[in-house]
Amino acid sequence: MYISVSIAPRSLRCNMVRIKNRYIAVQIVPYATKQTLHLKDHILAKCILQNVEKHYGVYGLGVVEQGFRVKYCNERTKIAVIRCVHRGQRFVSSMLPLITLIGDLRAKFRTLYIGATIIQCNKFIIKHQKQFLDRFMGQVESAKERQDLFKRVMELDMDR
Amino acid sequence: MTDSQYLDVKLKLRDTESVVLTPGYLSGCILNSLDNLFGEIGGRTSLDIVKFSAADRRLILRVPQEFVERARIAVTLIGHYQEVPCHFQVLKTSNKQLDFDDVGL
Amino acid sequence: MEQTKPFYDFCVPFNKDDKQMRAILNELVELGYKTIAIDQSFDHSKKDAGKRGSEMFPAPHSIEHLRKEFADKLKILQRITILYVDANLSHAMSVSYNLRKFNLIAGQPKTDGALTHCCTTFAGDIITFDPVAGSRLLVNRKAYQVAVRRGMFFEIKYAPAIADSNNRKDMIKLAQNYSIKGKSKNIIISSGAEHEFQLRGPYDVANLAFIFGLSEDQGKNAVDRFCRQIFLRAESRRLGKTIMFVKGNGPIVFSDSSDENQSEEEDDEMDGVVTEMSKDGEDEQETDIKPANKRLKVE
Repeated sequence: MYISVSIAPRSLRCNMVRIKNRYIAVQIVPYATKQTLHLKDHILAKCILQNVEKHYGVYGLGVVEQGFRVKYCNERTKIAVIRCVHRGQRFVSSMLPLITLIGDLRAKFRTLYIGATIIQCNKFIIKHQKQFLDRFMGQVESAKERQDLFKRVMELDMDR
Repeated sequence: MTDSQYLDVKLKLRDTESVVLTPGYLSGCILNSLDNLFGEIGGRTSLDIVKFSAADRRLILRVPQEFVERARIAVTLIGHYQEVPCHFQVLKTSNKQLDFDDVGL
Repeated sequence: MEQTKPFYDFCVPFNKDDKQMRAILNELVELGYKTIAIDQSFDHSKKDAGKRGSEMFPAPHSIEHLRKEFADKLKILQRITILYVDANLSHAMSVSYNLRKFNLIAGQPKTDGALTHCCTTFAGDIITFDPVAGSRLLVNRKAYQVAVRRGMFFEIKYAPAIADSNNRKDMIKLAQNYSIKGKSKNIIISSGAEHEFQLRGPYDVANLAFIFGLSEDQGKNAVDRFCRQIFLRAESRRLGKTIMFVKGNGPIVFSDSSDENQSEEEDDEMDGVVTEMSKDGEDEQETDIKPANKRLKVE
């Protein structure tokens, strides 16, 4: 005689889905070989987003912009870690090779590693930077400078 | 790659006098929208206007199969044609060659 | 009365100009919409909170003449969109009589706090966003899940995306955020069109699902079934906790057993929505209603 209707969702199961991110480790290779480069996170981010818009339009930008962040940018070793959401990864990684200009610096990107967690990315970077240190330690004379270099290269400040 | 889809599109304009309707301008308008929305890589395709009727303001577009979704969105999101508010209505999509006579208005 | 037909457009802003309003409605008819809601926005934050108890919300605009004119073509609902900042409008909402005259209530939070409130306790049906300033407000996952569980729906308007390409990005971003945070559950797409050239056909709109990160099914439901769900939910809020639909195909027999079968068959559409009761007060409701059930509300 009556039907009671309530609009409750059919499945009340609370499925915890993780937000999937991708961490892309890139190396910035400038055309003019300089020891250091002055590169701020936001310049890098702006450059990548601009290129996404250029190549994938407003749609690409809309997908990528959410959750996009430059997590880490080491000016000494020229390595940066970019975080983006899983679905936007292809947009970003496919146009990284097409970038020739970052801010006002002529440079190119070399994609080193794409990982699903920042820990994996960190591991890779540490390994990579140890190699870098091995090569450059020989050139440095004094022990103090060595320590200094070691500190600057190995700093991993991911809280950005 | 070889498969094409055909879109039957009708154009509604606020005032019809002040615009010039040619297939060239139209495809330019659509390509512009595609470019804006999906960019240089995602928005480039072979887009042909197979048939065009200025009197009815109807046109039939041919786009590759895998592109039909994007083309349709781009066509849907066009709001202005030569500064005049307009509305592109997709009447029909088909994988066969369409003609104006096929669909009654 | 409660029959509604697809397709739905739940946000057609009210326009004082009758001619313009008619043009929009005619266009809606032509595009194949059957149920629409005329929207009226109300900025709560501008009102001074001093006067308590008095009526805060405006009465709905009179649209009877439009209803009459489009009686057989469109079902016109009325909707209010409340822009607000602070959470203490719940009280004002609960005592308001004008609010009950609206079919649908939508909330448009302006701050993060208001957004959380909107998701968790707001007594409305739809959560909407200002396309210009709304992109900075991104719902977090917890609030989103709570809102979904409460049966709230999130609205995406497509007209701003047509008008301005800058808004387009923001709308895409917002929609993608829903998709990331909660797989785009409970999303409807409506127009919010200022004039008739910003309206699009329902199939075109469903197709926009692609850029909004919805699946094809969700896209179709966004202009069809979900709107029906909202309508039923809003109606249940307006009329009490239970809605009844009794349709007689002959003499109605007032006995328990046969009726139940009958109405169940007839209302298979309702089954499609959701018929399981999972709210807390279910049992007492049923016992409550049974004795007093001689008066049937058939409209």
